[in-house]
Amino acid sequence: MIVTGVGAVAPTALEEVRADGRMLAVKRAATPATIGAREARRLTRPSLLALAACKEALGDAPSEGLGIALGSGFGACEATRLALEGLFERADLVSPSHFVASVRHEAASSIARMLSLRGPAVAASARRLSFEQALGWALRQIGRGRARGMLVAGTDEVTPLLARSLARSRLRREPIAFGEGAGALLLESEGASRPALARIEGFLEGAGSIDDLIAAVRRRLGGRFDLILTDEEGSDRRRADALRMGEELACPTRATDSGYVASGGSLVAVAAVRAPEKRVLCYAREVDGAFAAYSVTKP
Amino acid sequence: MSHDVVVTGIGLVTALGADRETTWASILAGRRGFAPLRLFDLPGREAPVVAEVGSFPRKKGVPKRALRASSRTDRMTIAAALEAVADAGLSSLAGAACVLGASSAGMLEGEEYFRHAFEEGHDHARRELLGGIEAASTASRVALALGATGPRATFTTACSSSAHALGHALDLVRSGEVEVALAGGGDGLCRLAAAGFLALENVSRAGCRPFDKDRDGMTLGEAAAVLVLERAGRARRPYARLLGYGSACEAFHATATDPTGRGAEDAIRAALTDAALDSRAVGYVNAHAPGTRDNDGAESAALARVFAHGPAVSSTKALHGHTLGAAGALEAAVTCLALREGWLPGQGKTHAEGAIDVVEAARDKRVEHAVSLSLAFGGNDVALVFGAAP
Amino acid sequence: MDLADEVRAVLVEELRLEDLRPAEITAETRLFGPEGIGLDSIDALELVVILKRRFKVDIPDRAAGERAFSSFGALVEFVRGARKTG
Repeated sequence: MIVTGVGAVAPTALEEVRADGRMLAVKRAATPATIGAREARRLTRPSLLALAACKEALGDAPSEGLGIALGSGFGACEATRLALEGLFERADLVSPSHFVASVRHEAASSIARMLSLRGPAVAASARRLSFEQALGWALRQIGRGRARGMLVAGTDEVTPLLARSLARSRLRREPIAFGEGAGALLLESEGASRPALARIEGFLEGAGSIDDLIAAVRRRLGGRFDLILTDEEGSDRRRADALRMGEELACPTRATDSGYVASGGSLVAVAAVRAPEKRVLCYAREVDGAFAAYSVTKP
Repeated sequence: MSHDVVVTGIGLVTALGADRETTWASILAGRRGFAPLRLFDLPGREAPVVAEVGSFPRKKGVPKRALRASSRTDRMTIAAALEAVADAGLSSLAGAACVLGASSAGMLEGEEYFRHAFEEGHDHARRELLGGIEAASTASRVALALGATGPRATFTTACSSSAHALGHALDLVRSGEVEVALAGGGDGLCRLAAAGFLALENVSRAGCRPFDKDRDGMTLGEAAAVLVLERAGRARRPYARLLGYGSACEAFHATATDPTGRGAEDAIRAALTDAALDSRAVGYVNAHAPGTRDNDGAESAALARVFAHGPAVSSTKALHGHTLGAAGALEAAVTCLALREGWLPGQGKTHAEGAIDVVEAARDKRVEHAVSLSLAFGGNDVALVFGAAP
Repeated sequence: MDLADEVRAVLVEELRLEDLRPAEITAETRLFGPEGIGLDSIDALELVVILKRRFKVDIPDRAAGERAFSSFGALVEFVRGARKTG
């Protein structure tokens, strides 16, 4: 499949936030000014970020025959918090609009509505594989001829509640910044009229160790790359993964600088398309062993 | 290279029974699994009528790591997955995919965490309560519990989540990427979902009546449903063939349905195209129809347009409730059972609006092809086409 | 601050209507539909909860709701009346 458009809202502003007795580093993105206040009033922050990225990727291309696949690790955290606040006050005080906004695929639906995307549509959520799972699904829709193209995006917001909850649970050992942002690709089938910025050659997914992933990459993607790109390195495990990938595939490795963004794979994809290197391997591997990888090659 | 895909195993945990056989027997008998909510309180609200799961089996031999800090949703789905795999007679799931739909996931336990966190601070809230809160927790735990080492995916489109999971699994097996896929979804009741739907004034007082002219809303339910998909020719007596998957986005409104049912029509036509099947070949439709005033009329109109020959239609939500993230898979399972057993499930006495043939009492009838439909909030619409196994 | 100002401020805050100037929300202003400030079905449900949470008043039935939501002025009078009796 070819990439005919990219868009991204990357986090840029690093700050310290006090959340329930802890100082946490967060990396924020500038709020996009893509749409007016009235249109924006129902949209959650992840929707706004993703909408800006998708609009940039879509450009002036027509939307007929396009679908959307959106990955988000944690969805609309602020809307969920507000809905829970109402719930905890009394069950009949849950805000209907915050409840609707907290539904996990709200961003995908809102963007489809605003950009008139009527093709196949899905939302995926799997921590650091959220974007990659959406991408794998989207590639199959185009491959089966169910859509002539797909907007594939990832989006996550950072809130004090999310950062504090992550700090409390499994990520408590990792001293990293919690980021937010959105990235989007416009994917079309070969033979589309718009020029290809890049080609997605091969997409693999599975589960296992980093060595299983490397073996799969060699078997399915050929193993020779100019650059390996992955999400923010942060933890010891991810740093070790990246080192091993670079060593075994004899290739420089770079990580995006977005802080911990669950769907940060979308920012990796955009960076891969924009990078000067000709053949870029993008990969992600979750703590339970699930992994995905794909190659981005330039014309 | 393209392979025919069949359903060889089904595992179910529903308000109608903690396993497949009990659930199916209840469906044939037309039993409604509805009662006032008991799982938790909703202060300020009268307990709504829901389809609540009773106890369900806690199987031995599941790795501790799969169960540690797990949610009720996780455990229900592991139980269903174990039943499905045993039903399919598979001894190894090496290389098998695990694709699930998720909606509330572990929010029931999460609510307890957040309540304590908001009131007393995070360090006083039990960390384990967040162990199942993420959508992908269940797929991860099911894969671990069953030794499924292939591709994984979790779809989160509310009411159509596990329909997408089945469709995605179809593509994985059909393309030859995997030989076996576990596909389905689980969704346990939680306060947020119950209170949220009540706030939308979408909930039936006495129990949902899909397509009925006096319908007054949905009945929230919970369930776990897992199906085993394999390439045809590997298994003894499959339930059905999974022939097609179609999805479309209505792009109309955040919650309301386009009154013409345009999205449902697009999804069905896409699935029929994917299955290379003419609409006239479809003998039964397991509708989405949760019983809301808004949805059912639009859906009925779409069904009448696409299936002008008037196949039998029923919404088994009238029996097992609207199970959100599990709905797509549960209703697909019911459709597969209908195809194999030659019985079309009924939805009880219905004064239907519109020109569709609603099955009231279970009907002794063999059909060759059936469609299962799932229409989610925000117009995320999915249709699956099944065919009788030879 | 009189009741109308209070209700206006709560509406603007809770329904995120910051693009509207206070002068645009007068007693005659229609709340729903295209002629007024264009609230929709979700806003109507939200208003029921806002009235409970912020003003501690309940809408007794659908008819009362339709009257109370017909205009901004009607809403203010509904709250004023309900507070006296409640």
